[in-house]
Order: sequence, then structure tokens, then C-alpha cells
Amino acid sequence: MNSQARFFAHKMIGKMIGLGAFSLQMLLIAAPLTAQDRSQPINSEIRHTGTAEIRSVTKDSGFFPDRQPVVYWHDEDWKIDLLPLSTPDAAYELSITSSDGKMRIVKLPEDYSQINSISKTTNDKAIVIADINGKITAFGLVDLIAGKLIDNFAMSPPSVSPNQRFILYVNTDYYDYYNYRLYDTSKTPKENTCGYRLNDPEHKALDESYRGIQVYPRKGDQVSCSDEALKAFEDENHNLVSNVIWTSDSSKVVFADVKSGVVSLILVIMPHDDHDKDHGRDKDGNHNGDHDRPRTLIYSFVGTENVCGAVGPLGPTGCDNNNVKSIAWNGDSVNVTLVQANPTGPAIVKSLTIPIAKFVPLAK
Amino acid sequence: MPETANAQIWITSGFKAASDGVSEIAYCSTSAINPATGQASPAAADYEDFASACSVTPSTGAVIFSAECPSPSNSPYRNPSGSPAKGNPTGECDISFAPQPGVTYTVNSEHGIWFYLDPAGTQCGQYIPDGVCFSDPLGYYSANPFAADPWPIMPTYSSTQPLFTLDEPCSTMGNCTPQGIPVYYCAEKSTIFDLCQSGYVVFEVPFWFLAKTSAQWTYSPVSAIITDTSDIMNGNATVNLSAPGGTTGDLTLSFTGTNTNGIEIYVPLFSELSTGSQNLELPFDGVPPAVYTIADGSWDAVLPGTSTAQTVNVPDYTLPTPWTYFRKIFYTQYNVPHESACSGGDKDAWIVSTSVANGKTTCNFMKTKLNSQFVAATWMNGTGVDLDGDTLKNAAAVNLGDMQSCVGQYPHDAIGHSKAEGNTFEIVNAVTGSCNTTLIADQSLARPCKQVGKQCPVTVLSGVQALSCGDQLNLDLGNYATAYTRSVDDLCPACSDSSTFHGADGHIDAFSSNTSCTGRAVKSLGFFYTSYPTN
Repeated sequence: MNSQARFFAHKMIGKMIGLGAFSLQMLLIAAPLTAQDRSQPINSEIRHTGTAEIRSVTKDSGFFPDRQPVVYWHDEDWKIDLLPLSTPDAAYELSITSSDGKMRIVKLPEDYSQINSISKTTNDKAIVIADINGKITAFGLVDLIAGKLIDNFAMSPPSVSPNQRFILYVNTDYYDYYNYRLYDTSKTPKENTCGYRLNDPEHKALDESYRGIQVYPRKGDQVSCSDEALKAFEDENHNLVSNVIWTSDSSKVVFADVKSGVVSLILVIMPHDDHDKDHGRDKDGNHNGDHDRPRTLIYSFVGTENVCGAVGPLGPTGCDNNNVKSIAWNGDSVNVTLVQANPTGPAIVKSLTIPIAKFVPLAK
Repeated sequence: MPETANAQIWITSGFKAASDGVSEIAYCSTSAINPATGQASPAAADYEDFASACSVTPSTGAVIFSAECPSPSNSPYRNPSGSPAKGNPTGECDISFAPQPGVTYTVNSEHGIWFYLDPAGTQCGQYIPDGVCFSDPLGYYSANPFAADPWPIMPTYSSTQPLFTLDEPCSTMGNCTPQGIPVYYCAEKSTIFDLCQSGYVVFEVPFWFLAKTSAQWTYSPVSAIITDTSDIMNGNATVNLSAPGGTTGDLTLSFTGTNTNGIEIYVPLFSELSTGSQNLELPFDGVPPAVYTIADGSWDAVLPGTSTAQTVNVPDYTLPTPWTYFRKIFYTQYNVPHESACSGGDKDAWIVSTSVANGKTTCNFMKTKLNSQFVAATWMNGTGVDLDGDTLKNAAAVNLGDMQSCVGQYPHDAIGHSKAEGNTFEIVNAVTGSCNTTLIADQSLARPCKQVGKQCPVTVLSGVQALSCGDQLNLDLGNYATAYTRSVDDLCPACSDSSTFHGADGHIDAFSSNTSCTGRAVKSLGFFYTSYPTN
């Protein structure tokens, strides 16, 4: 942005705040849109859930931080709005207004470049999903009553459950590890930590790479978050090759993973929290009992269902997202459409329905 | 016998396609068939034959004749016996010839009718008492035997269209009165004995001219040919459509290609194209990612004056340079942040180096203070330049991370693996990409790869093919023009994760000259329809 445009932006923002103009369509109307901008709009959408009206950046709109759209969550209890930037380099802030009219301002981390969505959990927390640089997404959890940010870490683009309680994401630094983790917003950041760095023997750090419960890969009977248990899968070569699909009641989620040239559906059943309800969450300090943990089941496409490694027109193929066309829930089954290479004609499309009963627990 | 006179004879000059699909037929006809109804008029019974003769004069070359009507003067009277150029209800002469593109052909025709003889004894004012008469029931004939030129002037109808038809009225050359025509008559009688002056007895033949006609046709062959795909990387293709002026029709092209999973065929449709050179813009979003090598198609050409489309095939076309199309790709940007451009306070960071003693590699750590924004930006981008001018590299990217060769050696609070929280770096000499070339700002690209152990094999982009070092890519916003041309010089381990595609068909990281410390300042390039250059 040139200096003249920056000056204009400041003037605009000042005017917007003066008018209390939260209904503006875009929070940064600083410079005239270029032809490239016009050809690549960053869209936002409004949806309604219960009494809530939610405005968020449309999925897959890209990373265009200088065109931040209006984003908010409004329901009968809370109005959570993204405030316009006070300066182009400032950190974003949330305006949080409770039903009794009390308003708080919560500053978000400086590296939140583009705010994609704000959603509210059932226990008065707000989930903020932000883009840091187009490749790395940030997750923030705000305590609405206390008016402060209580957790924040980077992840691959996450998937939030329809009830806003769970967040499933890929945990990777793209060099040494690649696993899927589940974050439970009903628990504390500490309770959502599984694993510690070797140089943190006292387990004090809330390390980004150990946040969340590792749901895959893991051992079927794994209960600890020890380094040894987690390191057992470091050498495995996993890759997410589908969207993450939740059931409407948020009780289950399914996605496709590739490991060693085999596509598998990974089914994660959410924890029930029975253990905690029966015995009290703080009684023994251990919230990783059987009922507190998610259960992971797997269905691998092998044998005649294997679509990977076939020979295509250009030679032998690998196994990636091009082999998985779609996944959808169908009652207690999962519909999946797979694609297999064909050397002499169009690709072979296989539509399969996999009942949950055919999924098996992870190996112990 | 004479009947009520009406114009019931049609004369035609024209052109039509031969059944072999190659030749053209010029023709002339004289007919009692009403072309509008296909029904014969009473003239078919009133006259013995209808006759035509014609020849074709090309704009270049010699006049063309037909054996059906070989008269050099186009006289139908001289048509050979048994020729279809003389007949009832139609006499038509066809001239088949091989047309040459761009040449204009003119068919010049004459038309006439043959009379029946009246029954013997019929009186028609003949000079010789026992002479005979010809029958002209519709009155097409007229003459003034006592004029210097007893014959009326034969009309000429010229058209520049490829078909000329006239329902010729009897008044054109006749008196429209049913009549008998004496075979002999006297042009000039003696004043003394009511005898015909010597030499003035006229002998009539049973034939009468009707008119001269002509029509014109220029050979514009109907064809559709792909002529240029040099800019197909931007969705542009040129097709040349040839046909008579006024022709329009729908063009369907078919591009055949392959990707890793199979054969792809892309079939765009272009509606109501007229003749000439057409620059076509292929709808990008319908193009499956693939390497396209050949194309063909068809054009449903509707010629002027016709309602049925004539389908011509677009000949097989081999693209001079295959079109490798990756569809819409999302381009993020990475950079080398400079600590001098960062804001905020400092935090602890570590510089890692290695030393070898007694065959054992030891990782050495030096604690330092760096700007906190710079630490995060350098870790996430892989490289940064600190205030001392040193180039720092993410320790995990050089295999010195705490889960790699320096495992177990990291000091407390030093972090050597993370998506965004790492704080340990190695000092390197230069910013080089994985292709071992110096990265060029706003030019170099990082191709997707998937880390497997210490290697990061290049992944297939969009299901088409893996990019190689030095590959050039053409980036098009969707406006059928090159926005950027960039070259592949690096690897991007984060770009093979479909969760970073942003709904596109792949992900590439572009190296930016921006030295800022925030993603907000560096931004992204955006979505681009991506191909290898083809010119």
C-alpha cells in the first residue's frame, strides 16, 4: 500500500469507528480494488444457527488480508464483533458485548493476519480461526466472561464440529511429524495437551505441537501422552486427502488419510465425558480416562477396493487427494467416491458405502 | 387447343452441390413445374418440350460447357437429341465442374419451348392454304412478320445470387393470346397477284425463345480449422471458419489429454460463430487438469437461405507444444523477513551449529535475543536476516531440529520442531532453494513436496505431473492473459497438504521480495489458472 493509500485508510477507519459502522462489508477499504482484486473476491457469508447470526469468510476464499471482510457472531447472549484495525500494522481486536450490555475488548495475537470466523461454544467461549500467512492457520480460544484469550496456537486449517465443541486438525511441522489431533473446547488448554518436549521434563510448556489429543495415528490402547507413545509414529508418512466431515450431531467425524500408498477412512467417535460427570473433573486430576478420550476406528481400501498405485496413461500413479473424490455421511454409513487410474481411458470412479460396523479399532 | 393464358413456365439459372461432395453443378432449366409446390402447371400439356442451354464462365479460366447443352451460344434450340436439357415437364442442362476456392462462376442460360403441331386442317392465317400450324395455347409467341425485325427482343435477367428463378409471364415475349402459329407465312406480298414476293416466304420452326438468365456463385468451401494454439496457456485458441458469407453455426472443439489417472477430453462449445478467423476463449473452469496434445471438433454451419446445419469436421490438430494445464492453483507467498522490518520486543532464541569430534557430531547452541516477530516469521518462512546481517535458517529445515540429528541435545526452552513456535536457527551463507540456485525475488516458486524422512519427494500437482527445477509456469487470473511467468526453484513441504489448497487444485509458494515480518504485509498472490507456457 502506498503512503497515500495508507493515509486514506486511516481516515476511513477513523470515520468508520466514529460512526460505529460495524455493518460495513469490508473492514479494510483502504485502496481502490485492482483488476486482480476484483477477479479474486474474498467472500463472506451469513448463516443462522439457533438464535445466532454468524458472518464469516467463505471457505476456500483464499488469503487476502488487506480485504478483511466483516466477521461476527451474534446471538441472544453475546455479540462478538471483529473491530476494524486502528492502524494497518495493529493487532485485531474483538468487541464482546454480553446480553446485559457489558462490553469488553480482547486483543488478538499480532500474527492473526486474516480473521476467518468467530464461533461460540456452549460454555461461553469464542473460537477464533485466523490465517497467519495462507499456509498456517491460527486457533484462538477466548473466555467471553473473563474477556481474555485463554489459548492460541498454530495448526493446519481446522474443522470445527457443528456444536462448536471439538476441533479436528492436522498437527505437523511438515518435517518430522504428521498426525491428527482433537481439541475439546470444554477442557482447559492444559487438559488439551498430550505430550511434551524432551527438554521440558517438568511438563510446564504448553507446546503447540502437543496440543490436542492425538487421534491418528496412535495405538488402539494408548492412554498416555508419553513421548515414546507419540514417537512410535514419527516415521509414518501420512497425508490428509479429503475434507473432514462431521455428523450433524457432532458425535462423529470422518476423513481420508493416505499412508504408504493406501487410502483409509479414519472415523473418530467423540468422547462422552461420562467419566468426568460421574466422578468430578478435578477429583483425581486425570481426565484421560476411557470415556474422556475419543475413539478412533479405521477402514482401509485394500484388495479390490485399492485405488492407489495403478498404472495410468503417464505411468504408475501414487496415492493422494486425486484418488478421493468425495466423502459424505449416509446414516450409519459413509459414502465415499474413489478414483483409480486407467491407462487407456477415463479414470475409473468407484462409489462405495462403508457401514460403521466395518470400521475396526486401531491396532494395539 | 388454346386455353386461358397464364404465366406457367419457370426459368432458372443456378448452382447446386454434386452428390460426390466435391464437385459443383451449374444448371439451367425451363420447366412447367412450380418450384413452390412441386406440381406441374397446365403448360406441361400445352407444350411439347421445355429446353435450356447454358455454360459457365469462371472469373479465371475458360468457359465450361456440358455435353447436355453444348451450344457455344447457349441456344437450347441446338440441344442434342435425347438430352435432358430438352424435356417435359422440365428441360435441364447440368454442368459439373470442380470449383476452385475464391473463384466466381457465372452460369449464362437461355430458355425456350417446343410447340406441338395443330391437327391437320387447323386454320391459323397461314399463307399456304393447306399449310400446318403450331399450337401456342398460352400465347407465349408473338411476331410481326411485316416489320424489319419480326421478332421481339428476348429479355435478359442477371443475378449475382447463386440461384435465379423466374415465373416468366407470357407477356414477356408473347401476346398472351391462345393462338396457332403458321409454319409458313409471307413477310411481304406482291401487290398485284396477292402472291408472296419472291424470297419473302418465311419458314417457322416449332421452337420459341423465352429469356436469357444468369446467376453467380463464389466458391467458399465450408470448413473449420484450428490454426493457432500458441497462447492456449491463457485459454486462447484460433479457429478459421470458411463458408459463404452470412453462414453461422455452433462450433464444438474436443481437446484430448492425459493426466495421472486417465484420459481426459475437454469439449467446449461456442455458439453461433460466423465465418472468418475466430479467437476463442476456452472456459477455464471446465478444463480438467491434463496434458493436452491433440484437438478436433465439428462446426454445424447453417448457410444463408438454409435451415438445416451442414456439419463439417474440424481436422485433427496436433498442438505444436502440448498444453499442460494444472487448473486453478492457490499461490501463497514466502519471503526472507528482515529483523530490521519487525516490530515488538525481543525474546530468547538459539543459534545451532555442529562440530565433529572423535567421529561424533555434536550440536552446539548459543542463546541470543531476537525480535519476537522476527523469530516467528523466520521460523515459518524458513529463512530470515537478523540485525547483524546474518542469514538464519529454520533448524528443522536443515535437519538440526530437536526431533532430528540434534535430538536430546536441545537446551531448555529451545524449540526445534513446531509449525510456528520454533526458535532455533542455523546461520547460512546464502538463500538458496532446493534446486541449488539462488532464489530470485518475485520470480522463484516453491513446488509442493511431501516430507518422507529426510527427503521431500516432489508431489504431483493437480493430478497432472510433478514440477521440476527450472520449470516455467504461466499464471492467468482468468482474463485470458499472462499475469505472471514464474520459475520453479524451491520445494514447499507445506504445499502438498490439500488443507492448504483453499479449494483450488493445488498449492504453490511464491518467493516474494517483501522483507516484512507479517503475513498480513506479505499477503498472497492469489488464485491463478496455471499452465506451462506454450510459446
